[in-house]
Amino acid sequence: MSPQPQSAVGAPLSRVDGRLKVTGKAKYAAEHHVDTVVHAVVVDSSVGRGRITGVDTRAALAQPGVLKVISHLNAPKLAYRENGSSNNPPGERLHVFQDDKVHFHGQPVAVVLATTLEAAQHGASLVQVRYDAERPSTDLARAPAHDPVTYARGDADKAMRSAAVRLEMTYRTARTHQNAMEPHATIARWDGNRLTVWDKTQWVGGTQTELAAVFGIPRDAVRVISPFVGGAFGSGLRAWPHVTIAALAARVAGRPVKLALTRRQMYFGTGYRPAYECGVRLGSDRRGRLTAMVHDIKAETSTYEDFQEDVLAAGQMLYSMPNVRQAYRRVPLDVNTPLYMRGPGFATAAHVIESAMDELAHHLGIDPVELRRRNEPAADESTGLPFSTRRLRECYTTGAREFGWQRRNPEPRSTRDGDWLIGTGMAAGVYETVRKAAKARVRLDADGTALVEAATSDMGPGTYTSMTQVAADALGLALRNVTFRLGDTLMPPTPPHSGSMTMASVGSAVQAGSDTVRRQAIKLAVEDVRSPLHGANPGDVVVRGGRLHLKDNPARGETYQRLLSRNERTHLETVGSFEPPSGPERFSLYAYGATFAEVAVDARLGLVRVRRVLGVYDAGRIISPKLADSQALGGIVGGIGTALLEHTVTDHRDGRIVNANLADYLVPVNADVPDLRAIYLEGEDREADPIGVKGLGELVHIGVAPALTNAVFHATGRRIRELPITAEVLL
Amino acid sequence: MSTELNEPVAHPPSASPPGPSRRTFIVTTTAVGGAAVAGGLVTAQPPPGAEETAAAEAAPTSRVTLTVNRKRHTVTIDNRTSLLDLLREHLGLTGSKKGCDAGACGACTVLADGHRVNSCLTLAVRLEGAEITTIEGLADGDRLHPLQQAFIDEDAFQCGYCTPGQIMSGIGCIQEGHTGSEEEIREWMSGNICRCGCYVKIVRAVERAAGGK
Amino acid sequence: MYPFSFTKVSDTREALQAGRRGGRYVAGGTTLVDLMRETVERPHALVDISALPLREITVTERGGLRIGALARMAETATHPVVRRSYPVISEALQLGASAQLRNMATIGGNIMQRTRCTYFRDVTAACNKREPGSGCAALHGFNRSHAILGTSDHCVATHPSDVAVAFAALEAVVHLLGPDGERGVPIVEFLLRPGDTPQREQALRPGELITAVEIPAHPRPLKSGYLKVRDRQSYEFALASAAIALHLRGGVIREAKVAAGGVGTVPWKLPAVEQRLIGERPSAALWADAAARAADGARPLAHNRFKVELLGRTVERQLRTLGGTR
Repeated sequence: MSPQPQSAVGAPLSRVDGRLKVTGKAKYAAEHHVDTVVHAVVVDSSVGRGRITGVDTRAALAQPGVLKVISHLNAPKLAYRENGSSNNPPGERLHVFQDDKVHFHGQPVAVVLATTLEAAQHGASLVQVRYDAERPSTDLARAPAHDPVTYARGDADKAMRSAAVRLEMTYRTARTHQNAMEPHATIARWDGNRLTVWDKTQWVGGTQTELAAVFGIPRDAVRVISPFVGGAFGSGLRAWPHVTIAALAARVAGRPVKLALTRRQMYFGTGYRPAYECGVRLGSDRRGRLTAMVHDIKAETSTYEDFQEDVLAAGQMLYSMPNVRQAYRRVPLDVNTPLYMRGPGFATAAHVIESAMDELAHHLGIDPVELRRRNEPAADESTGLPFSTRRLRECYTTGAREFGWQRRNPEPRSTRDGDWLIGTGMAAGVYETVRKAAKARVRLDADGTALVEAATSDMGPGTYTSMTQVAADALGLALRNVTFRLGDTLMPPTPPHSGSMTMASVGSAVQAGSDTVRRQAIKLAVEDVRSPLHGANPGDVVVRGGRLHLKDNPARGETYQRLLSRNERTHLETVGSFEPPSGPERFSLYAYGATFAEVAVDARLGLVRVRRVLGVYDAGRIISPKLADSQALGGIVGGIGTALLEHTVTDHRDGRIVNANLADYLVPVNADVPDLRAIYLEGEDREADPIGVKGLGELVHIGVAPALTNAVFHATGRRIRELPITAEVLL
Repeated sequence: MSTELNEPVAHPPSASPPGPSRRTFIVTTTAVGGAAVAGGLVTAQPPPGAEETAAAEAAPTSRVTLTVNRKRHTVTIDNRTSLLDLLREHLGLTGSKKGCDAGACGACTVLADGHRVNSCLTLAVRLEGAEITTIEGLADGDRLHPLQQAFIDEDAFQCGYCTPGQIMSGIGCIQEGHTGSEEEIREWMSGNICRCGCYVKIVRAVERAAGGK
Repeated sequence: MYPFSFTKVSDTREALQAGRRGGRYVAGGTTLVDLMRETVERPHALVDISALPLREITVTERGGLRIGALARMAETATHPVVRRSYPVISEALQLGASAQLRNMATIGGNIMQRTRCTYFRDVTAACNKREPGSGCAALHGFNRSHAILGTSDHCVATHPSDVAVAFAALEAVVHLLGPDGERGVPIVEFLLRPGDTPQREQALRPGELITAVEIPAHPRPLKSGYLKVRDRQSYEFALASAAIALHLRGGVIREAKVAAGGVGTVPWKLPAVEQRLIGERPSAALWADAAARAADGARPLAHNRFKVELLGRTVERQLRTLGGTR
């Protein structure tokens, strides 16, 4: 931990980029002004599988303003080199406009370029594509699977046979889409063989390597810029086909190209959380001590890529039990490839495990919180490693107290309020603490201000703010004198803005760089005979409000400005680095949470209304409490959507997504959301990373859906094992 | 199984009376009730090449004079242009956001003659004489509108993309008098989706601004 | 969006002339512009009628209410007479769309709304309403939101309006002005069931313009209200809805006006329910018995079977809300 006083970190500050966002001045991908830009609109396949037999572009090209129509018939051949530095799943990514094959409904088959958006849109609607169509396979329940990924400890099948209590259930969760408010968009411009793109992405570095690989050009010939991201929730973790199309079109047209996906295109032009079918078997003794768990999990993937996410870890370490067997099968379908969505893997796993635990609690007549306490492990039973920190018991205690859990009548369907049946439910949540190598440039200028830069992203959690806080404290500057910039591949590299790893990784690099610069300044001062600090022990010097002084004698010191100008230094600068410890992990690193929810169910009309939700989290140190609170409430809102509303519907006859719009794919609106509350346990995790954080953006979403569905069970006495829970199943 | 599927035959546009023949999109900007801000001719788009010249001559366009954030603009636009695209693509006012382009998310909300509306479903050609206020027109110099400030103070946003629409809608909600309770605000702010899920704080911000707190 | 010419008219005569030349009237534009962008609608000429003097809401000589076709949803919902005398209209309006859309959309446009059927809205799908003879993708597709009443083998699309359901319940008359003069058509005859011509949705003659919707006088006091059941609490179309108005005298139901939404290809008037109520005293048993007739003749599809039950329960709940007794 830093020897510096911590005044910004941990303070409930408002967002540093707030003003830009409330005045409309924050620039998102499609909003950058690029001279001579033309508009591109993608034409999507209207069949779910097959071959393109013809593309008639005459009507489109006859339209005023239409410049070009590009399809596989006239597109230049692209290199499509392998890209090891990407989130591309195993397999081979879609090659845009390189052949006549259609792999899924909505696949890009052509792009229309025009001088105005209206002309490009109209032109796209006039391109006539002929297909030799086949019936696609899009039904998870019917298609054969890949070989499974498996895990086993003990002998789960034997233990199941001898268990005093055995439960067997199948849970299904719907395909859901991230549906961030900003549609994906890319502006691409070539200057000779150098490519600049303004892109909606959670990882400028990933888009950079992918474009370099696709076009067969050096990585440093590609610059990616993305200062603001209008939400992403995982959808910005790959460079999707439209990014390539924008760059390809710009090359063909010889002019910069702007391409924004429509909301409809977001449903097949970017990823999604795949649909899952999860068979679970639980064995326990009569007191609720788990003896065995078996998971048979099936999930959607595409025919051309094998997307996997971590749906297994939680089952291996959340509860203590000697016997576990898991199999995770991906089912290749004629769909576009899924990708991570908030709380990837763990959110689905937690839904399955925490629903099953609730069923067990009810079966045994044990309080759901108590059942979980009885199965708390002493160490991570999947690795044998000790937990760095695991305060799940405290989450339960605090949550139960603040929620008023003890007032609950355990009997289902026991509480009424007029036409409403009232129920409460809870669930645990867990997400791994991920951190990866990151760098950040820190420059302290002679005017006493600092500029900190890293090629990370801020899709909403507040990277701008939290990094500024870390740098301000480590440099000993007032917040207003620190500027943090992000979202440009010219800046020091960072890992993807995902998996709740940004604070741990980039934050640690920012702190390291800031510490170095501060120490440079202190060294300069103590070695400078003209400095009041001359001869002091560097370890005794701190910086506060831009002024270096002795920790025990604040009167003896001077400002950065004075120090630097006297030494004729325009600035001090370094690139700070963070590397996770090399070698095997010594600790089991996870963040934990518990969600408590109350719902009202009108069983006659099939309505579920959320009345209140409380989340309690063990997420390590909280850098930016005000923003962390917003993240938690947002994660809960996302869980309300998952549990009660969200479902991407495919018509299996032709692979068409039938609700590819925001009126038919329902996400929560304001009226769906009651007052919500989040509590972060105070503390830090010294083993996780230098700044003591465990990550929170994923965690706060995990466990919300099962807490709600468990509450629906408690309200109605009906166990619904398929998400989302809609009117037809409740009637 | 193998079938031949076609996209439906596209209907050719019927002959329509040509609009004023202008080479490109042209904006003239004059100040309303004050000193002239910018007179003369401003081309919002880069100078056209030969291809656009031919193109624009055939496009059905109209000439419209409207006021945006107290500035009067006379524009010659493609009849198909929405108010949202006029703002974003032609006037450089990208604060109003395109979230769905179908009236299903509220990110494009602006005030038209004082009422909150979805600018994506508003054809610009219909706005002769209209007064439009966008997020860019709210602050008084450096002083933010109270609702803008309340959004910052309550942290009523994360990614910020829906925020301009939320704020414009919130102003409408307050003007319409639908801030009597949290429940009422929730209902009357339900035309604005926030995928980051900041609803609790959006309600607090609207409440705060409505109460002049 | 296909190109179109644009004219703004300032009086009805000018409007009718433009209409006769094949121009498409646009008022609020919230449905039309949306569908034009999806290329479902491809008008070659738009006639902006928003400046016509058709915005007034007035009490008629006979004691009914005349709502100008261009009155906005928002202003109609908050109009003092509407709120006081016809809560069912006010509630149906405020439960529809969003505040922004209600500021734009008009009463005439609202009843002209086209279906939300996703196959209708997707020009690459088969749809007899959009392209007669192309087939109905919804019939054996994903049809959860579709109709169970008034369907045909050619179309099962639901009429999306809420306020039209209230109008149907109250037996409103649609006033039309056309080249041949004025006429009034009851709304239940104005909105057409699909039959084998699902592309014909309204009994409009070429060039005709809606000028007003008139609610006939009903005996007073009239208790009325609208219940809308949907997945999301706001900003969504109905799974099922009930518009009901009851006139009680001496503890007996003398008049009952009942219609349902979200379940029919048109707003669905429920005469069997009405008949069962008239002459009876309110009771829980009566509500249940009357509501049991709501889904008479329903033809559910693979994904909307639940609407049969839901419709009855929705009507029953709203009867109880208005008429009392638990």
